[in-house]
Amino acid sequence: MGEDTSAIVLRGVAKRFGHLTALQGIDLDVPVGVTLALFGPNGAGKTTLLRLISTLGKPTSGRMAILGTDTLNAPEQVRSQIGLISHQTLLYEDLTARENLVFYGRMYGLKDTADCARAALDAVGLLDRQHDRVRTFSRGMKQRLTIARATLHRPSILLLDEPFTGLDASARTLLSRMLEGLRQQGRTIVLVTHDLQQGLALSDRFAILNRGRIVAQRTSADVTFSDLETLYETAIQKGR
Amino acid sequence: MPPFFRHVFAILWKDLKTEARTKERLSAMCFFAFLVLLIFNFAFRPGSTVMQSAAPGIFWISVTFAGLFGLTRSFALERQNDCLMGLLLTPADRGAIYLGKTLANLLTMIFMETLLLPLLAVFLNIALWAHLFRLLLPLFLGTLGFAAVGTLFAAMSMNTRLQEALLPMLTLPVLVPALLAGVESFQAILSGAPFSEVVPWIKLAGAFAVLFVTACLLLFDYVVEE
Amino acid sequence: MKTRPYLWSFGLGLLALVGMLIAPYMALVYADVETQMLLAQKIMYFHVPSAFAAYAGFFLVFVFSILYLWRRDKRWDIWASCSAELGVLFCTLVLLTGPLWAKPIWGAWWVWDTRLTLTLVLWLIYVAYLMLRSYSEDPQQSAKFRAVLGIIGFLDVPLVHYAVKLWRTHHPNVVFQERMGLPPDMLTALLFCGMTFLVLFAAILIKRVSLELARDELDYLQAEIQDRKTILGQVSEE
Repeated sequence: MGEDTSAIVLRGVAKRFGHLTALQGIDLDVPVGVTLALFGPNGAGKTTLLRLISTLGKPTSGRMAILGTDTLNAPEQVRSQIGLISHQTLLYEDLTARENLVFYGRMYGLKDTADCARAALDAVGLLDRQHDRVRTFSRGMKQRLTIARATLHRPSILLLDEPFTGLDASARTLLSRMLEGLRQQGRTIVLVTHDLQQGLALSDRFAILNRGRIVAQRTSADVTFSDLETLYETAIQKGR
Repeated sequence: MPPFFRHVFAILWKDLKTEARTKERLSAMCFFAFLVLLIFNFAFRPGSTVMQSAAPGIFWISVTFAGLFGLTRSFALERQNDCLMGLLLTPADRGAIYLGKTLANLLTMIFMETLLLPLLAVFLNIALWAHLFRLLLPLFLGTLGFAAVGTLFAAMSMNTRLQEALLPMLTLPVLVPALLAGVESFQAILSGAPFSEVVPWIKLAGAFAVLFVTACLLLFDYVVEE
Repeated sequence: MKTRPYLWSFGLGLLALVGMLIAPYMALVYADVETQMLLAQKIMYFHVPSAFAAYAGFFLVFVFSILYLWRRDKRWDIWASCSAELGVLFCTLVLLTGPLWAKPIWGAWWVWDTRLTLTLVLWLIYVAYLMLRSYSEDPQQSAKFRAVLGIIGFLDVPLVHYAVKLWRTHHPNVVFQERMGLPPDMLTALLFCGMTFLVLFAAILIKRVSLELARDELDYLQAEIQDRKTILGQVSEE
């Protein structure tokens, strides 16, 4: 597809579930190292889009390339470069924090799983609780462990589906700081969020989705928060 | 070790570790199997020869009920916190996920069976010890066939409205050859029949296991992908 | 209305009708009365052809399931589901006529003979297939599940057959006796009825699939209309 500097490329992507069209005519270009925020009302297709990018589902039509690889042919290759944080923690409650990370480390084929796990736990401040079962963790701690899990294999693309929902203040700060750090490391980030302000602050670009289509795309630096609010309202009105 | 097998063992280790820690699935399975065994005892007159000749059937029915329960728990584990999605996000081959889960189910069931056999010997008054060695192969093959088909269908039934209630309806008809092989081979061995009578059943159980481990391995992809 | 399937099902239906009118003559008059089992044996001319149709149905489920998983075209799933439906129907006929045959001959409703037991197991597998259709939440996922079951179920058939046959040889039932070879007139009658049932199966299948395809198209058009309505509604608002 020729876009060598693009981490994620979607061309004319559509996703249908039977007669229901969740996404259509999606054209998206996310260069390497860029953070894209995705805004939109419920049911707009944001989660579906994220799942497509994470190779969990295949597009019904259109083409998609992640890091230059056409995902239809070789999705396994790109999976090791993608990390996903969603509403669910994806953690095994009866294993310890360390065991969860060691498991995922093995599944991602990391060479030094024990060291990676240790480093990841340290980064989220859970090293002292590494031998405790996840079941005993608070929601904030689980979210921190989820972040550790998603970044364990050092993916170059990070996908986040409304990660700030339900977080306590300290976890929010930690997540914002981590995202900043990841941005500086040059990772590509796609962030789905309802929080327009936070999304705008954390992103380089944003797109607004409504009823399965991208209705607006802008560079974040060019837009103030009130502009964004107006833009969002108009985009939603048009689609109704 | 090729990555496929590394993933299989990682999943196997995870399932067994979880089980070793909580013991909830295993204890429920064993208890369930024992209950079924007891109830069948009450269906027959105590000490009657009918009960002894029905012993293989009673054993395999108990194993079936407990096994079905264990299978649904196996995927309930992955449903919690959407962990299945976590597995699908990894570069692991879906077949590796299937095989890891199947082996975990197999080992759990075999563990339960080793506890059940002595109970069978005690309650139904069978001389099990003398034949124990010869029972191992059909036991293993029958359980493997059960785990192979059951794991695939458990993944399926968890996604339906009826959930675990659909599992026996899907699995049992398909398992008929394996169950017949299990019961008949046990019957032949326990009654002291010559080995030539047992061989066809063992071959059937083996063919079943090989065919369905392969088929389910290939088809699992279609069951879990979106 | 698409004419080609209509012509096929009309043509086959006509053929089946003619066949079904002749079949009783073939079964009752043309073929001789069997010496041992007398008139009750005549059920065979409907029992065995039903089995042909049922097995044909299940084989088709297998083929269409593979095609569906390979091509992901919804139409293959529709063909598979309809074949399964008809397969279960004819299978039920086999299971109903079997005891009707067995009772006067062998004095028991069910004698666990090899073929009937195999048919019973198949019936259970394909009823589970139909249940998967009823109890699934997501139609696309349901189609995939059914295709998988359709393949596994069919792969099981030879194993079930072998298992039941082996079981019967180990536990021979004194009452029951294996079916022997057929004299030519009975064979002709049987083959005629067999062909008729297969044609009947095909005719009903095509009709059923057309109905299902039409229903699917209707759903699609209704969804389209709904979509267009909302868009028009917005335009008129502005």
